[in-house]
Amino acid sequence: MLNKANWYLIKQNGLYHAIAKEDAEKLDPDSYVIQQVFDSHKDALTEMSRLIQLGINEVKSHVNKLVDGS
Amino acid sequence: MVTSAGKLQGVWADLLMPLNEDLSINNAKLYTHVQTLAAKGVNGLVLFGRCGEGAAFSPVERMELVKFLIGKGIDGSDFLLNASSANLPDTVNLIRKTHSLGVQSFMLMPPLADSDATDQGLVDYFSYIVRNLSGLNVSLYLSSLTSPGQADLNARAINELLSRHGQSFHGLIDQSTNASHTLDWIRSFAALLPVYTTNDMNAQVVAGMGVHTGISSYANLITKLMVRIVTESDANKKISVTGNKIGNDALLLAEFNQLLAHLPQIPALKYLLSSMYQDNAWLLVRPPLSALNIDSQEKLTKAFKKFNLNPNVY
Repeated sequence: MLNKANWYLIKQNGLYHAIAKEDAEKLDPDSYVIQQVFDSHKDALTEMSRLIQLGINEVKSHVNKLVDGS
Repeated sequence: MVTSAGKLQGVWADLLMPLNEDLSINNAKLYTHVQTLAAKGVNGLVLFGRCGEGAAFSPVERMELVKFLIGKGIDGSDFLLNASSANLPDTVNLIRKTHSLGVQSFMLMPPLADSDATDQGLVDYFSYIVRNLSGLNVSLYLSSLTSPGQADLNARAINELLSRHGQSFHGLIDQSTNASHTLDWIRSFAALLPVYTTNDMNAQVVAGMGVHTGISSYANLITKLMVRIVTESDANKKISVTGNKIGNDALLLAEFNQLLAHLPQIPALKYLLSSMYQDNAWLLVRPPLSALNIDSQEKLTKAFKKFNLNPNVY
């Protein structure tokens, strides 16, 4: 099955990166996880922003719980 | 993809379906998932199989999705479409219409499990479909039900169908979770046509017998692991280390399988995929299925975190 998507959203060492397919293929395949792949750089960046925002919200909620509990 | 001999090869993912709030298919999210599976090495897609909640979608909905995916540039030969429905005309029409869009391979199951169905009735049912598709160059795959019973295909009905329409059928798909059922089909029919299993735990045994093709629901999540299990020889399978424990692919698969034990499979897989993508569209299921309750979600999340999800696995 042909993979026609040109942009990879990957997670490497706990960080998200939106990189071109050819750059992803140069990496050690065991060094990263493909989160999702997209047709355009814009779509990959939009998804990356969404995931980072979710991460921020999670940390905020955790901190608020700690503050409320203290 | 379908080879010139009309056989499936490699891992075919039994696609889970992301849904909108109104329970229609979220096409954009499904397309991204399809592309992601392709990037991870999946060979083809089963549309509206068991994990794709096939019975819950009408022929029109199935056709619309095929149209959408082909419109996005996915090749029709990359699909195995479950064309089964509760009646003959819908099945024939769906095959004819999607074939005209480029789909070549179709999965056919016995219609609704009716305890009054007979072997002869099933033979007549599939014969009607074959007769009404004459002139079309399609590959048909006969499939068992997920819960074998009186209304399911048995050896007598399959033999009769193969003797009447041997050229029309390109493979048998065993959807039972019973390993001895799979082995019976392989022993009885593998000399005549390929036998594929949809049970991920059976796939590794079947791969060990030299059949490197599997229809996999787990491939939606642990894609790389399933690709290795199904397609590679034992020598190429990975050894992994979790903490101070050395494991291999078979152990990882067994651990993953254990996570889902005692849970309804489709809601559990969709829950895990929604966690992986952090997207609630994957959480929704069509009734009469229902999403996992909060208690089950929490237990599964905890167990999933312990599972060794490294880059070799997904």
